[in-house]
Formats: sequence, C-alpha cells, structure tokens
Amino acid sequence: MRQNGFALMRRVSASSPAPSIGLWLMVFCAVAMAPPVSAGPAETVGSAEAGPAGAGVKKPGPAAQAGRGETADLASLRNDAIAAYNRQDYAQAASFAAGYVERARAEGRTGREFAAVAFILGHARYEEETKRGLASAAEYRAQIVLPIEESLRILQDDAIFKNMLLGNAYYALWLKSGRRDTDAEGRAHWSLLKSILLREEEARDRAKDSPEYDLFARHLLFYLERCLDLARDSANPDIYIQRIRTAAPWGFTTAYDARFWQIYDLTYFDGGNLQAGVLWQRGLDAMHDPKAEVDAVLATFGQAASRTRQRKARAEIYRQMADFVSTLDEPARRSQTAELARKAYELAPEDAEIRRLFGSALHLLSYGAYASGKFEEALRQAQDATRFEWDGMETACFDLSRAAAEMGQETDALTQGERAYRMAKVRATGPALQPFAQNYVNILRQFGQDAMAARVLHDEAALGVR
Amino acid sequence: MSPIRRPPAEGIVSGLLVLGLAASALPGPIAAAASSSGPKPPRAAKPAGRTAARPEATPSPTPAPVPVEAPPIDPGAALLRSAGRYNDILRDALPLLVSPGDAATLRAALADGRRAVAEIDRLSANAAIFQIADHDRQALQDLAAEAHLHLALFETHGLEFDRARQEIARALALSDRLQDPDLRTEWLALQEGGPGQGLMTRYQLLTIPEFEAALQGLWSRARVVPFEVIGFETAALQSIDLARVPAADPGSFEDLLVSRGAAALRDALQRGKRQAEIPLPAGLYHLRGGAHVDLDRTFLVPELSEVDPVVIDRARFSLTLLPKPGAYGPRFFLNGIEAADLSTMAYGVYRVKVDPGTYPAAPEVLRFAAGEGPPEKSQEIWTIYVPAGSSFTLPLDKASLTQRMFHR
Repeated sequence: MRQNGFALMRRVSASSPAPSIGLWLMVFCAVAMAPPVSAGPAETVGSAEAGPAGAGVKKPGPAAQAGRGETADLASLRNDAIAAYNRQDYAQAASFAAGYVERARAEGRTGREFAAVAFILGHARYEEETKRGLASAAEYRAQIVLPIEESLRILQDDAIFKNMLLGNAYYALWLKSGRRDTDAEGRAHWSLLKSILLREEEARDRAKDSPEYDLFARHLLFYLERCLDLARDSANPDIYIQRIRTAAPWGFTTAYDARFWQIYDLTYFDGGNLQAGVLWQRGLDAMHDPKAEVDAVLATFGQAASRTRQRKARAEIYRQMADFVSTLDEPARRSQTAELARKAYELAPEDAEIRRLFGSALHLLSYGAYASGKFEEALRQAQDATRFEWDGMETACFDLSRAAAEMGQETDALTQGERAYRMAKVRATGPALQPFAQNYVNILRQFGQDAMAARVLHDEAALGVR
Repeated sequence: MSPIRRPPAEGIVSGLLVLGLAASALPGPIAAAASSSGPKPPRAAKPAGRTAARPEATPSPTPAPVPVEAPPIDPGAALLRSAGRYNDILRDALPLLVSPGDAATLRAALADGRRAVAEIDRLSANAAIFQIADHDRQALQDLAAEAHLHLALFETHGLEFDRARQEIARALALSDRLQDPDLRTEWLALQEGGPGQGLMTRYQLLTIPEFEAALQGLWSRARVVPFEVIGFETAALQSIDLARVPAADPGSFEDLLVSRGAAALRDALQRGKRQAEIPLPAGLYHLRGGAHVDLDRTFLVPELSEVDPVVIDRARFSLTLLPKPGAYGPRFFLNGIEAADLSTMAYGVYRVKVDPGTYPAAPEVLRFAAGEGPPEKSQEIWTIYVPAGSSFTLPLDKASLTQRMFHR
C-alpha cells in the first residue's frame, strides 16, 4: 500500500531503491523518441488557420517548386537546407538556412516558406551549439531562440515538438544566464507546458496503460523534473508548487505512479519549501546512484538542510544522511554517522527513529573504541548513548558497564551491567540475551561479587553463561 | 522538395548535454532497480552525437493493449478543451493570491496568466475559421470572458490596475452571460492537502457586480501621493528608504503596494526626477535618507481625505503667529503630522485647524513655498513664499469677543 509521501521518502534507505534521477533521464530521452511527425512545415498552413492542438489542416506543399516570387537560387537554398536537416547534418542545414534567411530578409520576404527555414535555422544551430556550447547568452538568444520563435509565430505545425524545443532552448538560455534570467525561465516553462497540454489532448480518453498515455506520462515526468530544476534556483519557487500540484496527478496510476507521487509530495516538504525539497529529492536520487560520490551526495543533502525552514524537515535530512553514511561500513564514516545523527537528535529529540539511529551510531563508536583498547573513549561514547531513551539502549548500558569496568569504576560498571542485563531480559531471550548475562557475571566477579554472580549463573544456566 | 521530417531524437538527446548530464552517464544498476519494481522504464537514449534510434519495444508483463482507433475530432469540442486547459492554468494559480506571496511569484503568475489568456483569445479568434457550432462558439466566448476576469484578478495583485480595468472591460464585452445576476466567479481559492493526499481547493465565489466592487476596493487601496524633492543632489537620494510604520504583513497586498511605491519613488529619484506621483496605501510612512543625508520625514497618507503633496526640502523657516496661538489654535498639520515647533518649519502644505469662531478668516490650507513673492490667497488656500532660513509672521484676524460670543 502506498504510504504518504513523507513516509515514502523516509522509508528510502540506501538499500531500498526508489524511482531515481536515472529513471527520469531515461524518461526524458524516451519522450524525445516519439514517432516523427512527417507532416512538414511546408505542408501545413500557418497559425491563423491552425486549429487546436494537433488539428492542423494539411495542404499540398510546394514540393520542389519555388515559392511565390522566389527565385530559383533561393528555392535551391531552401531545398538544400531542408535536405541537410532531414539527414541531420545540422552544420550544413544551419549554413544553408542562414543563407536563405539572410537573403529573404534582405528581400523583405516572410511567410510560411520563410518560417519553415527559420525553424530549421534555429533548430540546427541549437543542435550545433549543444555540442559546442560556445555562444554567449546574447548570441544564443539572437541566433537560436529568436529564429525558432519567429518561425512559431507563423507556422505552428508539429506544435508539441516545436514548443518543447523552444522550451529547451529557453532553458539553455536560462542556464547560460547563470540561472538568473527570469524571462527565459518563464518562457522555458511556458513552452514546455504548452507542449504538455498539446500532448495531453492526444492522450485524452486513452487508458492509462495505453501507449499514447504512456508517452504523455513520460513527457509529463520530463516536464515535472524540469519544474523542479527551474524551482531550485528560481526567484519565485512557489509558483512551481502550484504547477506541480496541478500536473502531477495526471500521472497517477500510470506506470510511473510512484515517481509522480514522490514529486507531488515534495510540494509539501518543509511546509512547501520547494527549493529545499528539490535538493532533498536530488540527494535521495543520487544516494541510489552507485557512481555518485558519497561526499557529493552528502553535500547535496547538506545544501537541502541549509535551505530548510522547519526544524522537523532539517532533522529528517540529517537523519537520512546519517542513515546513508551508516550503510557504508567504513571506519572513517562511523564518527560521521554519529555527528549527523547528533544533529538530527538535537533538532528532533522526540523522534524515536532518530534516537535509535543516534544511539546505534554511538554504540558503534564505543564498541570500536573498546575493541582497540581506547577505554576512555569507549566510556565517553557510551555515556552519551545512555543520556536518552532509545530502542536498543541496553547495548549502550552494556558498553558503558564494560568500559567502566576496565577503568575501575566499580559503581558504574555494576549498575550499568545490571541495567543492561535487566533491559535485555525484557526484550530478548536465548542467544541474544547471553552476552548481557555473561558481561554482568564477569563484572560481578571482577568486583568480588561472586555470590551474586553465582545466582545469575544459576538463573541463566541454559544460556551457556560461564 | 521533400517534406521536412523532424529528426526524432537528436534534439532532445542533445538536451541532455545542455543539462550537463550525458545519456552515457546513466547508471545501469539504477535502471535495473527501477525496472524490477514495476513496469520497465523506457530505455536510455544513445549518447549524443550518434543517430538516435526509435525507442525499442518495452517488454510488458501484460498483453499489449489493442490499438484503439482515434475518435473523430469535433473541432468545437477540441477548441473548448484547449481553451479550458489554458483557463485552468489561471484558476490553478489562484491560491497563490491568498498565501503570503512575494512580488516575484505574482509577476511570474501574471506572466503565465497573460500568456494563457492570449492563447484563449487566439483560439477564440480562430473559431470562425473552423465553422464550429454557434453554441460552441458562444461557450468559447464565455470561457474567454471568464479567463479575462481571472486575469483581472492577477493584474490587480500584480498592481497593474489599469490593465485590470481593461481586462474587466474586455470580459464584459466578450460575453453577455456576465450580465446574469446568478453567475459567480472565483475570487479566492484555499487549498488543503498533504503528502499522499488529494488536493482540495475551495473557492470563494462572487457575483460579477460583487467581483467588480471587490476589485475596485483593491484598486482604491493605494492613493496617489505627489512627491516634490528640493535641495538634494541625486547622489544623496540613491539610498533613500521609504517604510510604512508599522510595517504591513509580509506578502500582504499592502506590503506589495508599499514595496512597489518605495521602489517607484527610489527609481524616480535616482533618475533625477524631482517630482513623482507614487501610489501608496493609507498609513503612516517614514522616509529616510542614507548615511550623512539629512532627510528624515514622517507623513501620513489619509484613507479618505485629500492627499497633500509631500515636499522634501532640507531648508527650514521660522513662523510667528499674530496673535500668539491660544487654546483655540491655530494648529498646523504637515501631511497629517502636527508641527510642534514653529521655529523650524518645513516647507510644504499645511492643514490649518482653528476654531472657526475665533479665526473666521483663517484658511484651511497653507502652502509654504521657498522663495519670494506676494502671497496668493483664496478663501480656503493661501500660498505663502518664504525665503529659506528666514522668518515669517503670519497675521490671522481674530474675531472680536462679541463675534465669538454670538458665534457660539
């Protein structure tokens, strides 16, 4: 049964994989691989005649003929641009298209043919620039975004793809601005949203497990992930909360139900603090990525924690960090686990899970210190672990008793040894109880309490206590 | 010429590089983990730079669904659905107007609202071309009118009052249905929900006249305050600070109005303007200059009465009254604040409070301007020119004892 989102996230541990960033990237790619729409701009009437999404009216295209009043060499440039574009030779396509557009502008030409080639120009340059990444923000806007926009004003065929491309171009422009250009951010979102709405029209009335709806769901996931990314550095992250709450339910009960819920629930994280929520989710996703650097994952979580507003949310992030580090089973990470768990405990001491995690971390440190003969250190860690109640606290009493015994602290050793034994007796039986009983007997003997030791030996004869 | 075929994947695959996440970097084990717990996710794309292939068929544990033939498209219904989705963008953003928001969020919501309404208008304009049924066309007009009403609300919260008025006018022009006294539209939206729960939105609905009246109430929250700045260099006004006392609730409509007014005043002064009309909500304000700038003014923006210009002038003058003021006044109020010390009077527009029986000829308004010249006097308003740093004696005719007794 699906639990609520917070619980869902809480249940995430290093050993329980969840829908991750890897999944959405794959989704992202798959959306792109939608079957191509063969109806080309040259075949479709312009915006004034275009109907609602996907209802474009087709007319026979001008084929190889020159357009109205178009000279033969201009028509040739256009055809060369289209041919290069169709074979995905974007460098050639951009070159031919640029030549066409330049001449058409000089001649004052506009219209569908012009718009079709302007789109090729923008898209081809987009692909080239994506490979090279050399353009400044201003160049990017002038050379890539504006031709696509100019084309879309006239030709709105294949609107899903074109709007998605425009959204991607604006997104790239936003990145180039150092994630600060709010206009590019708004347009990146809007164009993508528009393509989503058009795709939804295609998936309308389809079963949620139909290929059409699946395609829509994947496109929608891409949109939501883009929203998260935009929100992360946006000056207005709250608006994405509404956008996600509206769109995410469209993906419920699809094949990606869990991921949709996860993103939807993020909008409630830390009282609706989406920027912290996004970083939190990125940390959870990276946690499952075997190639991710542990310190990078922790840094992401750390950023999320620093952006939280509520104590409880911050404690939860530290708890998750501690939980993550505790699974690494590296000696150097043990003290880090305790440090993170301590931060969580200080923020939310009422949380039983956090208390257990913190106590366990201290127990491990105490245990390790004792094993290496550092009894003072073992005693200190164990004392910390007995200052609060937690599930498994008998182990801390056990640690404290034997470290105190090594230090000759009779009262502490005897008191804690008995306490550990009594607590363990309530919770455990058989072999699980044996170390506690044995430890108590050892301490009793160490401090000359043989009669008492004999009584415990008698009581627990079946456990193999010697 | 062959038709343009949209290359299916390259553009998007290269989008991965824009994101800085190469497809080749996709973690395999994660894919395996993800696929083990449900339907298999789509396969990763090939790295950018290669020709991307069509997606391979995804094995499914259940038989593949039988392809369903697409139902015939009803252009009217399709247009209405499209317009409805754009209108929903506006409706879904309404909760942003309730929660304490910031100006940036409201601006972003407004920008999307304008785009959505532009799309609806475009669809509405194209309706005739598709020869859709009259009732569908009318429904589209009604929906467009509703969207314009929503947009008016966003324009108002974005403090674009003129545009809000235009949106209302446009809505009323688009649909006669708005004349229906029973028709109601959304004014407020409150959301309830939580992790793992469905979202519940409750709307406060108003009739159209109520909606208009409520909007007008918001528009009139800000009063236009004329500012006049004299004797300060532009550089000295760079760090001017205007704040309401006490401050409005953060994110409230008042707070937005104050922030916008303060920004507009700062902007005008930094551009070297010496006179500006700034909309501000009623309340007490404190205007301060930056460090080493002798500017510290408190003024009141009245809720109902006429708003006097706020004159910011470093120069002062001394005022002497003849006869000396007594228990029946006169008292002088500069922008709502009483002038306690007549020996260091600021220039500006003073409201004079007197016992009319004692000073029957006293003006209601005294405007003190720096400079020289004969006074300009009407029955209610006197303009007096006083050179900076000098003193001025203001004679006020006092009624005789008989007149005062008779008056009472």
